[in-house]
Amino acid sequence: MQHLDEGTIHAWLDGELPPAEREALEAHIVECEPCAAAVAEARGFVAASTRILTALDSVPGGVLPAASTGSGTARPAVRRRFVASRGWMAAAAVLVLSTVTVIAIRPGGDAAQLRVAAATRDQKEPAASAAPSEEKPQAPAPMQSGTAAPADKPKSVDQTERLKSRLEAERQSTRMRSSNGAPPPMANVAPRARVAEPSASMGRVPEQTATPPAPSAFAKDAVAKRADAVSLSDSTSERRTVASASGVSITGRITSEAGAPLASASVLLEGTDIGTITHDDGNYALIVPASRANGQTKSLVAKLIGYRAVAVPIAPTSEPITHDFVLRANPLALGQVVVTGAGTTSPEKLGAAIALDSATVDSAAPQLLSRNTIHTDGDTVVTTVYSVHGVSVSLIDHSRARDETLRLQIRGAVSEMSAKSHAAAAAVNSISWSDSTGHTRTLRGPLSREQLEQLKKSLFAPTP
Amino acid sequence: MHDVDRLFRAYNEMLVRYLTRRLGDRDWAEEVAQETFVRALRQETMTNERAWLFTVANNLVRDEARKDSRRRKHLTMLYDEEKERIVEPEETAMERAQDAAMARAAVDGLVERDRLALLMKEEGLDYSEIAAALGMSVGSIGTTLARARRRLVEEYERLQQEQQRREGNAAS
Repeated sequence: MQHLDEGTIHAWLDGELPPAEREALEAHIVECEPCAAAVAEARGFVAASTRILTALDSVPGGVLPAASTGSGTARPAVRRRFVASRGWMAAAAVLVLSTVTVIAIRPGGDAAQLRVAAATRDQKEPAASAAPSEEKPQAPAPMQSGTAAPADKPKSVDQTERLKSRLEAERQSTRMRSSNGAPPPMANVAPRARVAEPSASMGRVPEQTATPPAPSAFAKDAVAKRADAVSLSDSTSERRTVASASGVSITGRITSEAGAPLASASVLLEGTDIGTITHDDGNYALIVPASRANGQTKSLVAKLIGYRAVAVPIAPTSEPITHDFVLRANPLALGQVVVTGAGTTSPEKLGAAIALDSATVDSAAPQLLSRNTIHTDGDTVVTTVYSVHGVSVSLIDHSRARDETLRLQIRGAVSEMSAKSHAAAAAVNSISWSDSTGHTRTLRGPLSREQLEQLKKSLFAPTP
Repeated sequence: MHDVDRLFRAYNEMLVRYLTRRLGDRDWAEEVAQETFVRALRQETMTNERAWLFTVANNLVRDEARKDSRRRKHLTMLYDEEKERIVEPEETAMERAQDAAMARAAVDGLVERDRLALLMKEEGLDYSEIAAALGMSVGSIGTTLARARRRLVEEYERLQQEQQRREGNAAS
């Protein structure tokens, strides 16, 4: 046998060599000193790589100044791109099919029937237990072997919530788009996800279809009953039910002084990695895993840029906690947003490049500008936003931005490295913002220089 | 229609970590992960879930890649500027940030394909899944990973030595 090449050694260390090759390699390195050394070196590289990559995990969100621009405005653009490449994706899927041996073929069957099947099972479970109750179907079913239902990690629950709200929004927008009134198949998704959550029933779908129970009248009835239950409960209490199943839930609502719900505010249990952000309706829900709900007092902190952070002491035990926050506007924080300038060195050098149209923008600071197109739905281009690093201009309230007035949010990214040196130029066709008194103001554009000045004044105005 | 709930539970953590390591921004990583799951919802059939999710996430990121390079340029400018200003850095946080910055630089120094292969491997994808997600042959993954790991470590060590030299100069 020749000396081993590096790739083979790594494949061996990764457990990816076929048995025959593996045996040959193992026999070889016993005898060959250089190759044994190469294996030792490769081991070192594998371990060190893992260690180095782990250092990347401590990066918090929003560190890169324009990242939130990406998150707020890039999504629709990405979506458009995806449509164009769907053919390619199909090709990729075929490729996956041909190269991977473990294949989980999804039943292409009738979704409604699957739901009925799942519901039937859920219905049976409480009947078998000693105390059947309305809550029971929503409690997490115990892990069952045989299917790859993953462990219910409490940490990801708030993210699950966020995904759900996203799916809910998708569902609503789909419904609104379908003018003939016939709900598209998508409309089924969110309610189903809610009903099933967090039981792993969907993970057992293949199992169910192996012996599909006939959809009996009983089962249909169960589905109808549960659909009612879901539609009656408001989102907060529903969340609470779900939450209490896997840990201690903390729920509540975050509003401004004027009573308006604050979306995308962050709620964090200080000193832990437990946190979430509020939905469009200002509600939040997070879970403290049962193991960490030991009655120790911690700070629950609510934050949103442009508002003063509020912290309350809480001591999570087994009882669900509800806490509503009212955040006061903090215009001074917004003072770090510079809406008119372009530059990255010092505030003194800012101010020249007010961008009102594409020509101005491009010639002013071409290397700093990124262009994003905002859509209100999948296809309609509503306006084009030019933004500069340091400030993000994002479309808020995706689901409701269907009228002419776009609700845009201007956020200053305050980097830990340098708060003062961020700069921005933003030109938009129409812009709404909350001024320091909490009133919503709208400018339709393109914005004139005077309007931009007004905007700046409004953002910078000290609290009266 | 997919059981997105289950997919999300099974793969979200993995996907977010992968994307965070790749993009260097957790918010952004979560956005992309979320979008990936929304895609999964629309996807009719899916053979290998894990490879599919990573493929889609990769595609979503690729569109943003050009912006990313601009972001990095901007960050570098800020960093250089800040370096002149900071006199006595706070130790632990600063060291951790330094480690992260060096790791970031070393990872960014890899060619795209090596970087993705390595990050996916770290999330437990096997060679056939990585090959599928990157459109490569299974046989070439070992070599790719070997190269990626070697370069990553060597670059990281080089940066570390450079850093130590700088600190030595500052102290004297």
